[in-house]
This record gives sequence, structure tokens and C-alpha cells, in this order.
Amino acid sequence: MHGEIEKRIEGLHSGVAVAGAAAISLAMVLIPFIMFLHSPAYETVKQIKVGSQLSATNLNGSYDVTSPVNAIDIINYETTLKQKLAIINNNTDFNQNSISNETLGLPNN
Amino acid sequence: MKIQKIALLLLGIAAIMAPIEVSAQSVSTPDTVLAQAVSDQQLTLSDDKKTIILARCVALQAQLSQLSDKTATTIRLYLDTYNSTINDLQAFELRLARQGVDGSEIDLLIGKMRGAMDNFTISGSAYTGTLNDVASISCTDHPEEFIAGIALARAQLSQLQKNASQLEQLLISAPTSTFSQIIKRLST
Repeated sequence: MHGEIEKRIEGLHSGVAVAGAAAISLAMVLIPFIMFLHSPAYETVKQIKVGSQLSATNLNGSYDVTSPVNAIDIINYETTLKQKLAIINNNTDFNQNSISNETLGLPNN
Repeated sequence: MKIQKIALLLLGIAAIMAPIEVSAQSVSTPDTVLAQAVSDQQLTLSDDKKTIILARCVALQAQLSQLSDKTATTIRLYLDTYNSTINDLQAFELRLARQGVDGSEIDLLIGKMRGAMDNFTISGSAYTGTLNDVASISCTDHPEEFIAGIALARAQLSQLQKNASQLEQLLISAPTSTFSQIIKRLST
């Protein structure tokens, strides 16, 4: 009788230990997860997700995604691409002189 | 004994969690960025230079604020152009896939463009952010931060221009690196 009670107590201790370990593991998973949900990183992830969805919607709505492509289509697109890139002017738009000491009228160090 | 065990357990959990929390909280503020720039550049100003800075400060801050707005608009225009190009390329990729033609070069180009656009966006954000910080700092109290911020912005502008050029170069070389392979495939 006494031995049986001891066995039960031992079993109970093991159960408590396993439950405790499980609770700690759960807390270690949940705490970083909740911290992530409240972090700016999660906001960025949500923004990227919305951006991707918008991009996919735009593509489906206003682009030809079904007709077969011929070599001439690609050649024509090369011309379109050149026209698109005409507005890009890195050297002027991001000109180093725009914030030089001379331009700003500041003394050199 | 029980209390000791619980305390040890809590200490263990805290030891694991504390570094995560600290890394989540370490956010740079404009003041710390400019103060760090002063420290990095080991900047000290003579009284003459401080006088020149104070005399020109208000006008320069307005000029830098305008430059920040103008640059942000340019960056948005560039990103719109590149996003529209990516949409064009994705449409080609889908059409090629439907007719059973390999368009993996386009996929590679889109991947490279997205990476380059991320770098361009990050460097643009850093540059315009620094310009705004410099435009809002008190020149009377922090003339060193003002000058160090401009020097920092100059380095960031250099990086921005480099990233913008890399992005543009991807599309300039696309006819030879990407399209020629697909044209060849479609012509056979």
C-alpha cells in the first residue's frame, strides 16, 4: 500500500515536470512571436504583402498575359524600354555638387 | 528550495529573452545619428566657421528641405518606372510560359532588379532622412552636427547615385544579357 502511494507520487512528479517543460517551451515560442507581431518588422511584412497583391492585381487587369510572344515583340519592347529609361538621369538627379561646400557656401573643413 | 528553483528558472528565461528585447528596442534617432556623425568625423569647428554656419543656417536648412522633397519625388518616379518595367517583364514571362518557351532569363532579371530596387530605396531613404535631420536641427546649439550631417548626406548621396546607376545598368544591358537569348529561342 505504501509502495503504491510512492509510485503514484513519482508519477505525479513526472507529469508535473513534463507539463512544466511544455509550458516553458510554449512560452519561449509565444513570447518572441507576440513581440514580432508588435514590431515594425511585422508592419514591413504586411506592407510588402499588400504591395505584392496590388502588383499582381495590376498585372492581371491591364497587361496582356495570354497572347503568344514573337521575337519582334521583344525587339519592339527594347525600343519601348529605351524610351522609358529616357527619364532616368542619375548624374543630374543625384548630382554630387548639389550639396558640396562650394554650392552651399560653406567653408571647407 | 522550491523558491530557489523557480528563481533559477525565471533567471534562465530572462537570460534568453533579454537579448531579443534589447535588439528590438535599439532604434536610432536623428539626434543620435548626427551625434554619431560628429564622433565618426572627429569634427571640431573654429569660431569663424561657426559664425559662417550661423549666418547661412536658416537659408541652407530651407534649401536642404526642398532638396529632400525633390529627391524623394525623383526616387518615387524612378521606382514607378522600374515597377512598371517589372510588370512588363512579368507579363512577357507569363506569355512565354503559356506557349511553353523558357523565360528564365527574365525571371533572373526581375530578381536582380528587385534586389537593386531595395538597395536604391534604402540608400534614398537614408539620404533624404539625413537631409531632413540636418534641416531641422538647431544650428545655434549644434553647429558641428549640422556640418557633420551634410558630410554624411554627401556620402549617402554618393551611395544613392551608385545604386541608381547599378539599377539602370541592369536594364541598359538587358538587350544583350536577357532579351537576345529569348529572341534566339523564339526565332528557332
